[in-house]
This record gives sequence, structure tokens and C-alpha cells, in this order.
Amino acid sequence: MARRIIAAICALAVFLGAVAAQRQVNAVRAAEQGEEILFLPNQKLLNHFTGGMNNVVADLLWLRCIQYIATESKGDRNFTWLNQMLNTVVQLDPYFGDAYRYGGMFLAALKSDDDAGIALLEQGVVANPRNFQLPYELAMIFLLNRKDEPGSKERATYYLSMAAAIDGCPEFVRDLATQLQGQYDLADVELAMWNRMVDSDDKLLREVAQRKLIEIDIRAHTEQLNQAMLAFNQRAGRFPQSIEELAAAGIMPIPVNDPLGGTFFLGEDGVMRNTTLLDEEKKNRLKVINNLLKSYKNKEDDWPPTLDALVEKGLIPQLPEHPYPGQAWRYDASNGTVE
Amino acid sequence: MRILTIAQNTFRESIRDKVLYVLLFFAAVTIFGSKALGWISIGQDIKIVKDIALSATSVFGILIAIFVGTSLIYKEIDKRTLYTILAQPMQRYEFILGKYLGLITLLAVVTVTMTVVSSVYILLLGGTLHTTFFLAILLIYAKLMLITAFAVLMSSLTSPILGAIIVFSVAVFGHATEVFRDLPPQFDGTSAKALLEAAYYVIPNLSNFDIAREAANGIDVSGAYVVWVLVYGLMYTVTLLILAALAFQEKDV
Repeated sequence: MARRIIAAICALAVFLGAVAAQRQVNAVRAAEQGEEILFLPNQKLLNHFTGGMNNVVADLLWLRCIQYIATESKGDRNFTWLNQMLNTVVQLDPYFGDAYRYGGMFLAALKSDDDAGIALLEQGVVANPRNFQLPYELAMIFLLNRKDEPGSKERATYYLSMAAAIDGCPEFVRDLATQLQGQYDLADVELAMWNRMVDSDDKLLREVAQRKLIEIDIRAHTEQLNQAMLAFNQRAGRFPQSIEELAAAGIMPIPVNDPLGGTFFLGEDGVMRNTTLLDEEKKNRLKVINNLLKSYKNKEDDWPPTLDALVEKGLIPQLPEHPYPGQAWRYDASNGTVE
Repeated sequence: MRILTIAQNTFRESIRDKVLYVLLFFAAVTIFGSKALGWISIGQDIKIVKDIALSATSVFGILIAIFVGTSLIYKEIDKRTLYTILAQPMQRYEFILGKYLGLITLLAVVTVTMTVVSSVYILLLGGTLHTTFFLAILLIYAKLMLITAFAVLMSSLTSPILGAIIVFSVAVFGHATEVFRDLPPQFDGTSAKALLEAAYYVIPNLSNFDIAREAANGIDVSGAYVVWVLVYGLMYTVTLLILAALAFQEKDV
């Protein structure tokens, strides 16, 4: 009996040792996270050597992709490997509609890489011509992310018309396609999209949608504050010096609070702004610039001497401005970092 | 009639094999457990269950074909029952064919069982089943018939362990034969290209039988494709069975 107890205790001790070792493995792996994708074999070869289980490997990689997105969303939000992971998933399973759909959305909305999102979704439209969601998401990227670019509304209309023509397409997409023919309100389009997503069964999608809806609210608040500034100007013949002065005048339209922890401030140009929105915009623009810097480095084998070199090389027509008024990007040509 | 008797005996014997139930148990655990992966998949749980159900049917079917198939003849020699059987007025090819039919009947029972379990599970989870799902099962079964024929051939030629290794390797590389055809331009005009192209046709092209991606995503597959793959599978299987019969004819037992 005593021997059995000793053996059981030894087994338990060894097992706890194994648990501790596993935790150490996890800690080491966490430090190297993101690099694992480097060890994925060539996409074409991967397709051949899955022993007929391409779809299962695609599923597992898709799950890894979701974990990666969740981790990056809470971390530095670079999403460096997202594009390669998604392309490998759809290479393994070209009919994986939701990998194109959510992948395209994540690339455009989280990584701010519209080009990659559009390329992935366009690939999906070719492989899945009966899936209305893919042309619909393409239209959304052109409407929301590229609304200021010439020709984007035409391309959005083209893709929405394509989605509306597919069997099973819901009425709201058809209505949107019709609406796009005439005058439409982009804010309503965006609000409707995130409102649909906030009801998703998936936690990650719900969190992304909830944040986007709060950002929309903050944008509306900022706009209302700017309207209040105009009202103050009409009454007093000048713009207020501060938010406090606006509040003291009794024409503050709403309580000034930002649920995401940012603040509203009055710029020297007399325009009311919000730091949450500006920080988000700064992150997005930085991602665009960083992607361009990497493209330049790949082509020229060195970092550009200045950011203007990106424009001179034709990588972008115009460099994105720093969203904070009066501030400029600080670029270090020795290591290609920009902030 | 003699073939059917051997087939019945092989089926009865195989269905008592404990390995079969261990593999079936793991297949069931894999299929039921696949739902857990779906929880973190952004609404892809049904697709993942379908993918894993089809892959489990294929993988565990291949394992059963290998473990049971490659030891078919060896067991008869080991138990010395082969001598009694061959002493009967019977051709050796009838013995091989009977063994093969018994084993593919067993695989048919296993495949149908796994299909019923998977289908009920998918329907209970609120999913739907497209015709392609069942066509995928049909092609998986055709693949299992081919692999079983190869296992029977190996059973006539080598020991169970070596046979199992060879059949397993062919089952893995049979899904990758496209690499022999998809060569870089440097191979143009070389004898290596001709050799690799020959290898492409010699090694069974098992990727033909995989339409799991279409099945899980509800994509239609043309009837002509399914028919031609079945014809290919049948032709290849018959070739392997003829070789197995010839090998066993020459075998010194």
C-alpha cells in the first residue's frame, strides 16, 4: 500500500514537473511569437504535402490566424504576418469563403493594408463566384477606406451590383446597391455595417465592432462640438478660447467624455478634435508608411534617405500627413523607423 | 462461391480485430472533438466539423486498410491455416480476391458507420449536408479500395511491418504526385523530366479522390469528374489485384 502511495506521489510530482516545463515552453514560445510563420513551407509545396488534408491544415492555420489577430490587437498591432497567413489558408482551401471575407476586412480595417485586403477579396471573388459577401466587402473597402480616391465609388458600385446579382443576397445589399446610384450617406453605411457585426456570435468580431461604434460616436460628438463652436461664434462674434468657455456659454451640446480614454481639445486652428480618433488615425497612417518603407527596402536594399523619397520613387502619390495639427513625422533613416 | 466464403471469413475475422475498435474510437473522438476547434473559428464550426469528419474517415480508413490489409496473408501463414485452405480445390487468385473482398466489405461498414455518425452530428449542430459531402465519402471509399488492393499486394510480397511502411508512404506521397508534373523550366528537355512524368503515372494519384474542400464549402463537383475518378480508381485497383494474385501465385509458402 505504502509503495503505491509513494508511486502515486512520484507520478504526481513528475506530472507537475511536466506542467511547469510546459509553462516554460510557452514562455519561450511567446517571446518568439510571430516568427513561427517563417517556418511555414512554401505555399505551393504545403498544398502538395498535407497528405490529402489541405482543408484541415487550412482550418488549423485559420484558427492560428484568429489567435494571431487577437494577440496583435492587444499588442503592438503590426499584423506583420497576417497577409502571408491568410494567403496560405486560401491557397490550401480556395473555397474558404470566410477566410477571404474576414481576412480582407482585417487587412483593411486592422492592418490598414487596403491593397492586400482588396487583393485577397478579389482572389476570393474569382474562386467563389456565388458568394455575395466577398464583392460586398470589397465595396465596403472602396466606400469606407478609399472614399476620397477617384474612381472608388464607381468600383464600389460595380462590386455592390455584382453582390446584388448573386442568389441569396440579402435585401439590404440590394438596397445599398440601389442607394449608391443616387445620393447616399457614408456614415450610415458604416454604422449599419458595424451594427450588424456587433451581433456576431464571435467575441473578437464583437469587440472590433463595439470599438468601431464607439469611434463613430466620438466622431459625431466632435462634429457636434464644432457645430457648437459655430453657434458660439455667431452669438459672440468670435470662437471660444477653450472647451470650458464653450460650456460656460451654455451651448455645449453633449457631456464631453470619451469612453476610450481620449480627450477633446481645441486646436490652434479653432477646430475641435479628439485624441482617440487622432491616435487611431496616426496608427493607421504609420502602418501605411511602414509598409511603404518595407517595399522601398525590398526594392532598393536600403532604407530611403527621407520619407519624401517614397513619393519620388512613385510608391505613393502623396505622403500621409501627421493627423495632429502642427506635428510632423520623425523618421530615422538609419533603421527605417518612423513615429 | 469459394471467393465469397473466404470474403465472409475475412470479414468476420477482421471485425473481431481490436485494432479496428481502437481506431474507430479515436475517429469518433476526433469527429466529436472537432466542435471544440469551431468555438474559436468565427462562425466556421460546421465547416471545421465537416472537414475533420471527412479527413477522419479518410485517415482512419487508410490506417485500418494498412494495419489489417498488410497482415492478411502473414496471419494465415503464421497460424498455419493457409495450408489447410490451399489444400482445398481452389485457385490462389480466388484466395487473394476473397481476402480483398472481405476487407473492403469491412471498410464499407466502417465508412458507412462514420458517415452516419458524422451526418447526424452535423445535423444536430444545425448544419446542412450538400450532395458533394456524400460524393466526397464515395471517393474516399474508392481511395480506400485502391489502398487496400496495394496493401494486399504488399501482404503477398513482404512482411507486415515493411508492407505497412511502404503502403503508408504511398498513401502520403500519392497525395503529392502533382509535384512530378509541376516542374520548373530547368527540367524542360531533360531525361529527369521524362522519368518524373513516368513516376507521375506509376504512383497512384490519390489527390484525385479528394473533394473534401468542395464538400465542406458546399461547392458542386461535376458528375463527369466523379465518374472518371471512379474509373481511374477501379482500373488501378484491378491492376494491383492482378499483381497481387501473380505475386501470391509465385510465393513459396
